[in-house]
Order: sequence, then C-alpha cells, then structure tokens
Amino acid sequence: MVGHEELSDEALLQAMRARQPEALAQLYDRYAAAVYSLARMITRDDGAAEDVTQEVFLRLWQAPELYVPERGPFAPWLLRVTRNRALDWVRQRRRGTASLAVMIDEHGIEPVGGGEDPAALAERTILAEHVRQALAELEPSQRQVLELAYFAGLTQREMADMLGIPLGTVKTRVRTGLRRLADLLTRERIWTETE
Amino acid sequence: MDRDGVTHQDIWHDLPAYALGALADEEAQRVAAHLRVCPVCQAELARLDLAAATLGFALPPTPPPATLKDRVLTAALALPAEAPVGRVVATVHQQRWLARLRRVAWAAALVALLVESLVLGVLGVRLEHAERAQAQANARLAQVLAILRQADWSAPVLGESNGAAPIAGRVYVDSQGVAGVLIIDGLPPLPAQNLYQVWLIRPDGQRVNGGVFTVDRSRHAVVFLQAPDSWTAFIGMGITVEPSPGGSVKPTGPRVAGCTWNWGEG
Repeated sequence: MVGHEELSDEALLQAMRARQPEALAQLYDRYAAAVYSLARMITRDDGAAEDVTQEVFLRLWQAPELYVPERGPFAPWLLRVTRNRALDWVRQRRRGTASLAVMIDEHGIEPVGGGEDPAALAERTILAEHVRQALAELEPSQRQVLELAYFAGLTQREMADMLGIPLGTVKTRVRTGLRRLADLLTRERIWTETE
Repeated sequence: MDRDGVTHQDIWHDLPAYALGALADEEAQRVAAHLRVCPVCQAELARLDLAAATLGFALPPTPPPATLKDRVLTAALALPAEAPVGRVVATVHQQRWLARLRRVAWAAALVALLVESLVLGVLGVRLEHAERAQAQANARLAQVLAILRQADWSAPVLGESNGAAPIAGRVYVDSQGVAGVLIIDGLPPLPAQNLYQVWLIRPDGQRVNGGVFTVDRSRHAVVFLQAPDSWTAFIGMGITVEPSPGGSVKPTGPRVAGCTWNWGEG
C-alpha cells in the first residue's frame, strides 16, 4: 500500500474511491475530533455523538463521491453532513443544546489529548482560534442567533419565540451576523491558510 | 421580480438564513427556486455556506473514545465494495455514449433497488439503500460526463486477448490533466473473488493504483480513474486481475489490457 502521509483530503478521497481502508483511517485521524465535537455539541449525548461520528465516516466510505470538490473545501462539507445527522437525532428527541460559551466553559479551548493525528490536531486548533476570533468580533446578539441556528437547528421564527423578540430583529441579526462572519473569514483567508 | 412578487433583493436578504437552515420550509423553497436561475446568489450562498460550516470549527476539539476508530474501520471493512460496473461500448460516437451512460446509471440504481427489495423486504431499509445507490450512480455519472465533456486528450487501450474475444477501449483525460475515464469493451466477467485493477505507470516503471472495477456479462465498463498526481506524471496504463474486494498494492495477476503514451507528441 502506498503511504498516505501528508496527502491532501482530495488525494485521500481518491484513495477511498479505490477502496483503500488506510485512506479512511487517515481521514478519520484528521477529522474525527472535529466531527465528534460537533455531534456532541448538538446532541449533548456522548453515545449519540459516537453514533453520528461512526455514521458520518461510514457514509463517506460507502459514497465518497457525495463530496463534490467543485462546491467547496472538504472539511466544511464534512461538518455540514455531521450537523445534519446530529440535528436529525436531536429533532427526533428534542434535546436541549448548550451555547458555544457554555461548551468552552465546560471543556476549555485547549485540545484534549487523544489518538488524533498531531498535525491535524494542531491545524484544527489554529483554525478554531481563528474562527473564535472572528466570532468575537460579532455583536453578542448576532453571535447568539448564529449559534442557535447552527447548533440547535432553530428557524428564525423559533428563535424569535424563544428569545421573545420580533421576527424582524432576528432576521436582521442573522443576516448581518453571518455576512459579517463571512467577511471576517475571507479577510483572514481561513481556508487558503488551512486547506 | 418573479410571479409571486419576490425580488432578487428579497432573496439576497434571506440567503444567510438559508445557509444556516433557519428559514421556514416555504421560504426555503422560494430561495431554492431563485437560486436555480441566479448565479449571483449562487456565488453569495457558496460564501455564506462556508462561513456557516466554519462555526463547527469554533468548538474545542474533543477526540472521540479511542475504541471508536476500530469500530468505524471494522464496520467499513465489513461493508461490500462498490466497484463501478458499466455497459458502454468504447468505439461508438460520444453522443451515443452519453445516452447509454444515462441508461446505465438508472439501470444500476434500479437493479440495486430490485435486488435489495427481494432480499430485505423492509421498506425503510430498501428506500435508504435505493437512495444511496441512486446518489452514487448519479454522482459517478456526473463525474464521468464532466470528464468526457472536458476531455481534450485520449489514448487507445488494447487488450491482450490471446486469440479470445477482442478487448479494446480508450482512456480520456480532462483538460486540467487531473481526472480520467476508461471506457473498455470485451473484458470477461470475473469470479466473485477477483476484480480488475487499473495501474498507472510512471517513467521509472512504478505502478500506481488507479482504481478497481468489475464487468458484467455485457463485458463493457466505464471506470472513473483516480490519479494521485497529474496525468503527465504517467506514461502508460495497465489492467490486471487482482483479488476482491480492494485489489492489490502492486500488480500480482495477469495483465489483460494496457497502453502507453508520449506526452511529447502532444
């Protein structure tokens, strides 16, 4: 087997299409912590997070062609799949979701040691710091609605009801917040630095 | 403004909520309809999608339990390999290929559905598998069509048939020189424990795995080829018979077809 050390995500996906399990193992090492963390954040359940993580990687193994490179980088796509799976689980059980601040309070922002590829872990840690810095530049009210939409899967109407504020206010916060975040991430060249 | 009085500006305002999945179903459908015809909004959505997905990376990375990796890999290896199976003749005109390719994709999905419906008999499981089979067939077809549309280089592939039925095909490479498609005709079906494996040949003779595939009784195959480097790094290609499901690290079985090329000749 040809080694997969330091291969790009795309090269590993190509190897997966050729049914090389080592490629799956490498992608797992690279992204399992990110996938598991997001699933755990959304489901608030360790067992469910494990199930979602397993399901995401098995689906990738079975159908790597579901990722289309022309539509964007691999890592955000993988997290979109993870989020959708985790939200499906939550919607079936209607579990609560903590805020990003609570999650960081509980677990800190330093990575927990584990079996992940050290280089990948370092890269993810740097990326997480960039994203947190960008989020910190948003108004707290904008950050709140982005987190409720992303991590809890709430619609704008549900957020308005939950927060007791007009729907129009939620819409403005969502619109302004995400566009501001996109501008900040573009300015920081997040994906060109880390991909 | 469309028939419902919705303007481009209305949709533009809704794109962030759409990227976050925070619109009601009716609103999301309205945005989706506009996106199909508006490249400006498509580009903005791509940017917002990336920003939304990036939120997931703000979390403190918590590794999953160490045992999960073994569970994932064990479960993956227990799944059957899904090697591409095709039915397209290599020597016909490209437009006829495209028509046949479309039929093959639908037929593959239909066959998967019928077989699974007989074996499983459970509607939910059947639908999920059919959806996956269709998605895979569609995705594979889209890849193949994209490469064929962009292909500006091809080379004939000749079989080593030893007096048996002739094996002939052609390999196509897209204009960027990064993706290829092999269309080949005349390969005999193999027993379940074997498959065909494509090898890309470097100038120093090293063989690099280019993908595995099987053929059915039609003896035709359309194979999406994976090259770890630009195609200009290779000077030829070979096809051998290898063990199923994953093939081999290096060629071990008999060579059944292949070709060489010279990039210097354009």
